[in-house]
Amino acid sequence: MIGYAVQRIGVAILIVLLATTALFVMIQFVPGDPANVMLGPRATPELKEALRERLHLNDSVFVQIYYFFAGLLQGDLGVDLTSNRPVVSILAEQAPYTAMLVISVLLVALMGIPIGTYAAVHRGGSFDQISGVISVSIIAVPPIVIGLYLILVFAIQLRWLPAIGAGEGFWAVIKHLILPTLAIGLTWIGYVSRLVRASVIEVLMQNHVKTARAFGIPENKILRRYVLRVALPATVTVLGVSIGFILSTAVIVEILFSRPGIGKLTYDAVISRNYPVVMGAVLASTVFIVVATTLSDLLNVMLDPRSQDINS
Amino acid sequence: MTKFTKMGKCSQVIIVCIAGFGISASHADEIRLQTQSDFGQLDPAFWQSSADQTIIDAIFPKLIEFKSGSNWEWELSAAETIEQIDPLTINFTLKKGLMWTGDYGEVTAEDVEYSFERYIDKDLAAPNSGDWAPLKDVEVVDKYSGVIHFNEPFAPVWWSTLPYTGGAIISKAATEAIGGTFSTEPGATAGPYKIEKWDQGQQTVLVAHEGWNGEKPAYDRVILVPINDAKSAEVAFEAGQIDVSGVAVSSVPEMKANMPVDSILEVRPTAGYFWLGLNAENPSLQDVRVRQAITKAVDVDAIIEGAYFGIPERSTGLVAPGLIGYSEEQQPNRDIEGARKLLAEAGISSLDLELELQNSTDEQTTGLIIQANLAEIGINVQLNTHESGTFWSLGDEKGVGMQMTLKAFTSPPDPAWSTQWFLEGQAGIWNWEWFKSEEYEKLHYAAISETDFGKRAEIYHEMQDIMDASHSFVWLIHPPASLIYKDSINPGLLPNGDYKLHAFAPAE
Repeated sequence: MIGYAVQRIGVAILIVLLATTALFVMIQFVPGDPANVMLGPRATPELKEALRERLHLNDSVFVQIYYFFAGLLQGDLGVDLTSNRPVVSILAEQAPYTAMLVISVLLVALMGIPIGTYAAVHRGGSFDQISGVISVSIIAVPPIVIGLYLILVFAIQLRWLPAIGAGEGFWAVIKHLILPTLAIGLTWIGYVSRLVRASVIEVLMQNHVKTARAFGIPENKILRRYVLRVALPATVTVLGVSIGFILSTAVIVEILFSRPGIGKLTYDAVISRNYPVVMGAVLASTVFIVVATTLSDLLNVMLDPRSQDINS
Repeated sequence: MTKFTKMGKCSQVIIVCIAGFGISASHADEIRLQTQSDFGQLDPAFWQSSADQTIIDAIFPKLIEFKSGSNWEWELSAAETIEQIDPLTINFTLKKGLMWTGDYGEVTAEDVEYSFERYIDKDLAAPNSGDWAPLKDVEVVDKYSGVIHFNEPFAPVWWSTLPYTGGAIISKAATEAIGGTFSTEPGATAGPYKIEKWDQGQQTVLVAHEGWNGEKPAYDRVILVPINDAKSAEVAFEAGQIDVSGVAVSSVPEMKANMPVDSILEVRPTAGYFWLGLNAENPSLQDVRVRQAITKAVDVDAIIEGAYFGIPERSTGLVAPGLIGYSEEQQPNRDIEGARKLLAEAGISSLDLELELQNSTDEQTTGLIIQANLAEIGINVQLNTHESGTFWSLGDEKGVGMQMTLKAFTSPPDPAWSTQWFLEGQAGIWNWEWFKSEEYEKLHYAAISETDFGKRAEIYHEMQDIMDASHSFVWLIHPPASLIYKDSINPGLLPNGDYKLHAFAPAE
């Protein structure tokens, strides 16, 4: 297990390095001069040139990568071109908002497990059929559409929940999280429930379950100990991978709900060609995704040690 | 009651309970305003966005400031008196008792000297140095009095410098203590408001500054909420989370038809200008008859109706209504036959052109109308749509290869800021029409030095006539600023719709 964990962490670091380098190269092809954006139309050409020099924009991409990683090793991701604030400080302020959103979406997505399990156990029943129709329907609707309807109903019509912002204080933060979480999470409840249902049905038909029944073990115990333990690893893997999707959806949802966070920060930075912030934000997202997938792999191995051989 | 009904009831109760906490509606002494972006630069010599400007104008004093309302008029602010003695000299005296935050004492003439002279400090290399380009120096007479000396007459000083953001006074002692410049954390402030808290990307909280010696602002707290998507801002307004919000022009007709309760919608023309530019240096457009044909074929009224729902007035030039030099003379109306005739004279039966534009809905609709208009005279237009960052780099990317562009520029309330972009030295930088005219250049500099209001207006009329004669410009509109606010508020707005925060007050 320890060897496997070390191997996974090594791969994770390599992925972060490659993704960061790839992004650096891609940024070179994006049209738009950061010096123009930062200094505006009234700046003189000399001033713009001085800024390009300061940002190493006139250097080759290799030199720029060198400066980026040299800074990264010292915990320095550069400064925001607009406010001159350190990118690290900005990320430290914004990341918790996105982390809260992603974690709350994952928690909401877990509601799909009991729904899928109940539907599988009562296969063909009215709950199975109704949950099947609702799940598939929700999966088909983009989160932005769900978000818009949630805003219309709960923020504008009923005025129960806020439409924008992230709130201050525990209850306000919770309140501001509900609609964005549901906008992304409802789709995942449907998806996870369908996945769990299929896995549980498959496991229910396996011989070890039939044997357990033959021994007269109670159904609840069979479900908990012999069915879910085998059926859930696939769901854990999917949830681990889903963090990438949730983060990309968070960009849209953070814009829709005007929430601070890494997604909105990245979007604003790309629009304004604020490359140090783009690099920092994408690096943070990549680390977040890689850590999540690595943890899900390790959790998988803990739940089902056989998967270590498959993953290795 | 079934399990599902119980669950439904339960979740409803939870939501209502949670909703009861931390409701973010404004209190009576507080107002929440939407801004298009978060601020990023509070140093007046470096400001960039209107969000920067809004906060700078609220936290730093100015000798004079614009009145809120619909006309560009200034009034005394930190100055007790101010007077132009001759074209090169302005005398001023500060009001006593205006205090900086912290332990930096009173606002003095030395602060004024420091604030204005740093614009011409080459070491500071301020991008907004043009605000004070002809400044010679500021002479301190005593603690409260001083004299502003210019190297040459500078008419815009009364319009786009002193009452505008360039006129903000910063604390010499506090700024020197932090190294002579700052971005988001000024050493001290002395405006009607001071910054209480800034949550980047979420809100800026301003509170009334106890050291302000002018009229106390009606609201003790102002919360600025950055929402860059106009539709999201409208939703936040309808949900009661903000009291004043910008409105997308496309939403205005629908809002007028279904006004949110207790709300007022206001649309004002800005000092900005939106036009179709034709690049005279491009081989396909070098023949003036081709450009003239295009200007005759474009149906500006259809654009105003189709893309802007008939809301703004047709533009007559780059100077907006209400500004010195505004001309009431419109470009000629659409004349398809005349356009065809001109193309025939130029020996052109069909022509392929590209139109560069940004990806906003209104610009794309404008592009489609122009495409249809020009198809009628045998010109096939390909629309090249770009997001803003890419669009504004086209000068570098395409150069003379650009043919037609749809562009909107914002402008302070002085025409000199608009006319400067069309000087020959700006060709390819911001002058994408490659417009060149010696007479225009002479007039531009003459207008800056002309302190007689009437003569200056005449010069700008003449300059706009020269631009029209080039047939490189089709003036479309001055983009409107649409705002919605609660009817319990009397908004403090400048003529172009910008916020003047300390002028907001409860409606009587």
